[in-house]
Amino acid sequence: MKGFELRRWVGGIGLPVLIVVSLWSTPSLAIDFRVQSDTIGQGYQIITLNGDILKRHRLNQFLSLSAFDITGDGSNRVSFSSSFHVDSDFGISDRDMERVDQLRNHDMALMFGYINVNRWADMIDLRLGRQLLIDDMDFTMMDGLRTVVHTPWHLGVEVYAGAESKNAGYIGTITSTQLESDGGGGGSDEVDDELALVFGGSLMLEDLTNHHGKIGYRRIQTMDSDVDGERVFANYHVRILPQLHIAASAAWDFVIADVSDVLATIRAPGIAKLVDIELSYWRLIPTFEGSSIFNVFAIEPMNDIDARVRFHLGPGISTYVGGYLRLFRNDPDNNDEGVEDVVKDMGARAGGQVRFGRRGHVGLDVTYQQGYGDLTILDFGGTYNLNDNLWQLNGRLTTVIFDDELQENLNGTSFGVQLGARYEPVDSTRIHLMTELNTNRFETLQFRVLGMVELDFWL
Amino acid sequence: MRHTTRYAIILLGAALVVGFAIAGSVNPLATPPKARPFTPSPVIFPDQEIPLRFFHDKHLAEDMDCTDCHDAAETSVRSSDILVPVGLEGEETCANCHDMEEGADADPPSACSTCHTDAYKPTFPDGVARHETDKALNKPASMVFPAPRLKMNHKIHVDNKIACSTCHGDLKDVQVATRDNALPLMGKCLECHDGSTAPSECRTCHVSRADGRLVSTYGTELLKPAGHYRMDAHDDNYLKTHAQTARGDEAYCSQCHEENYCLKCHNGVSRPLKIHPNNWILIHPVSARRNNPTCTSCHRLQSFCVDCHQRSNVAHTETYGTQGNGNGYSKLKYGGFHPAGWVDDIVKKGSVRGPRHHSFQAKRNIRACASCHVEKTCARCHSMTAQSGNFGFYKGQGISPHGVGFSGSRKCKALIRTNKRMCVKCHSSSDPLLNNCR
Repeated sequence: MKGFELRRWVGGIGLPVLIVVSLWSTPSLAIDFRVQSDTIGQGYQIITLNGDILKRHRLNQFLSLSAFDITGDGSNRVSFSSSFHVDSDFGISDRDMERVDQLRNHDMALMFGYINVNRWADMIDLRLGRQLLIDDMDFTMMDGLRTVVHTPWHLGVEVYAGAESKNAGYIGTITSTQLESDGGGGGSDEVDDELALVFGGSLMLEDLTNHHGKIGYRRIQTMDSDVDGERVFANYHVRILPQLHIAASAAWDFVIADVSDVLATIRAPGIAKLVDIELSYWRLIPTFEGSSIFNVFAIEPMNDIDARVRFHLGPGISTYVGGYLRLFRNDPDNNDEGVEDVVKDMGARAGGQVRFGRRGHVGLDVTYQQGYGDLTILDFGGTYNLNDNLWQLNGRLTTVIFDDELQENLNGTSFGVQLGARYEPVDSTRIHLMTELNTNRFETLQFRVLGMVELDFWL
Repeated sequence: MRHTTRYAIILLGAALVVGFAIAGSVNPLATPPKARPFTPSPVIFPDQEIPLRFFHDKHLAEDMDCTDCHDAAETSVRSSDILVPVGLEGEETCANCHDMEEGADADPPSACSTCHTDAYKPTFPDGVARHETDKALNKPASMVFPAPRLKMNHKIHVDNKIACSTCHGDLKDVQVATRDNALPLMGKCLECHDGSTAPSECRTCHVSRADGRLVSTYGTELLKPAGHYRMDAHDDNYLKTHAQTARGDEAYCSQCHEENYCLKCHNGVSRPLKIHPNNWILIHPVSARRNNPTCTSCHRLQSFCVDCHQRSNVAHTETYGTQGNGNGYSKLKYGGFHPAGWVDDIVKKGSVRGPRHHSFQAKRNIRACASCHVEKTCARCHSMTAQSGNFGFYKGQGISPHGVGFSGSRKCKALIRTNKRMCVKCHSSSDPLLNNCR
């Protein structure tokens, strides 16, 4: 076993298992253990522009081991959570192997693994280990320490620091590119495995019924102090009236020295117990890692306005109509001929749903998009529960009418069917099976099958 | 941007958060409107059956105390406790005032129909008086009060001198008190459970598992937010809008969901069918070209998109080595995929670009480019330095992608200050052009 793999197994499996087993074997502590396992098997096809069919067979396994209330006093003050992922590619023909060589792997990843201390001294949360950071910047994995101090003045203070865990030369993680279902990390110029530090913090409103907000800062930098990402961001939600909410968030990106992301939403739910209204605006400039030259090219923001009105017509019966307008500005400095100042993309959608109590539901959605290709989708689906949820059956019929001036070879009408079933014999076990059949101008029969077994045990 | 400006932005934001915290502690909705805009969740308070007439308004008008009838509330420590008089034992409580022997002639009226609905017609054996209800041959329909899916300790509230009307409202205009007109909404609880007056953690009241997360599944029923207090209604569109709530307050979501729940979709392993309809591979270009931000919440452009596109010959592989079956470049020659005018030599044409020139697309939606092309594709023309490719080194053509006014601009300075590696991918480190941005 190579040193790299040895470290992987010791650090990835050995240490967490050792912690769990040692805690388990301590008879004096009433610790709650949880074991979750998801096994996902998939078989599907990718068609190439040459007309070749590339068959894909994959098996993904997730194992989560957790221990709660480690101190055994019923407070759940200290806990441990971890999740592992094993990815296997198999059953590929020799001919296909030439094209997917980098996909044949049996990589294992530690998705997350941390020790959590909850409300230490009634005001401090600590989380140490590999963990997920989610905020207005993005989601990032970090090997480090996060601390949240809950003050008595409706304010929480969060500070964190650690090493960004992505493709680093040890056990993989959620953001490892080699674990993406059809990626392999081979397409990019280089696999980014440089050690980077991530640190930041936030100030957040806490325990207010009608106000929620946060301002935060995060920086990711290499050991050479080159910045991979740096943002300051803020979000705020206020419930102005019992049925009127306003939320807004914005982020300033220091790499491109611009506002990279603005999202504002108004929502009025349950007006006269009949109508929900949702209106949102999104302004976005795509950003990449600090070393990417793609940051140079992205100048013009996307401006998107989206509206949706939902009508509650009766118990379990609702319909909706909505639409969006997305505007892209062209280079304002150009002196070119025949270039529109603004490129428009717009669409509309409508649909409805009928629920039959706990038995299930059926729904119809119609979507039309215009601007980057005309696209019409008619989607009819439903769910039916049998034997008090022992079985759940799902079905979906889709018709797609596609007219793309840029890729005319894709134009046409296609049909698809999805059929699925879920069997839940006991609370701790779920078995899913789904098949998808598509027919389009490239393939008379495209087949996909997905099976999943979910296990969830408390010990 | 200088450090002082950065710190100023952070300090300004911090000041705003503190300001909002102070403003927020003055609750504008502390006194709810008289007519409630919504009612408590039937998952928390399952449907009750109350086949009785009752007049809280008349009882309160007689200056009765709540505990005259609901005395059990003073000592109750569980939400499953029945706090109303029920059955023959409960009837004795009513009989303290209602003289059933006198019946309809009593004051207050005490006939069977005074309290029981018309559906109940009691019959008695011969010789048994009507007020001897324990000897009735038929019994009235029982009241059903399913245990709420909450933790509730009335005793603590009573001991803390919290009046019944604080939570249940003023019932002086109410007849039969039901879930929909007398049980408190969560917002009412949060007026005191604010983290300082009383604990604010969700599990203080909601039933939780050993890991501290809330129990959200009750048989075939699912407890999920209705969106009354946040923009988190788990409705038919929430799958597409949940990011705003999750990004704003991850800890809030984690009250119910563990990381594994998020990863079922976000780890990129299995394709969530609610997001991707049938024939998705065929139609996904439209969504991607719309600069759809949701794509990158699960997929990474330079691995997932580029890899699959190269493998399936959608993207040419000329600048990348031998990955692929080798005929990608020959079949999809440079510009062959894109429409005419995509890569017009604007130097020769006097800097005139047509509407389909790739530069417009790159400036407004570089993600679409990056889903097929790697940086070297761009550098091939835009670099001022030699670039390595499949067939050795070639000199970049030095076509500037920067717009008018870029040199010395705020963006130019920010790019070179934060990560100079980006600049030296196309410029030599000694390029005097970089001095304008340093």
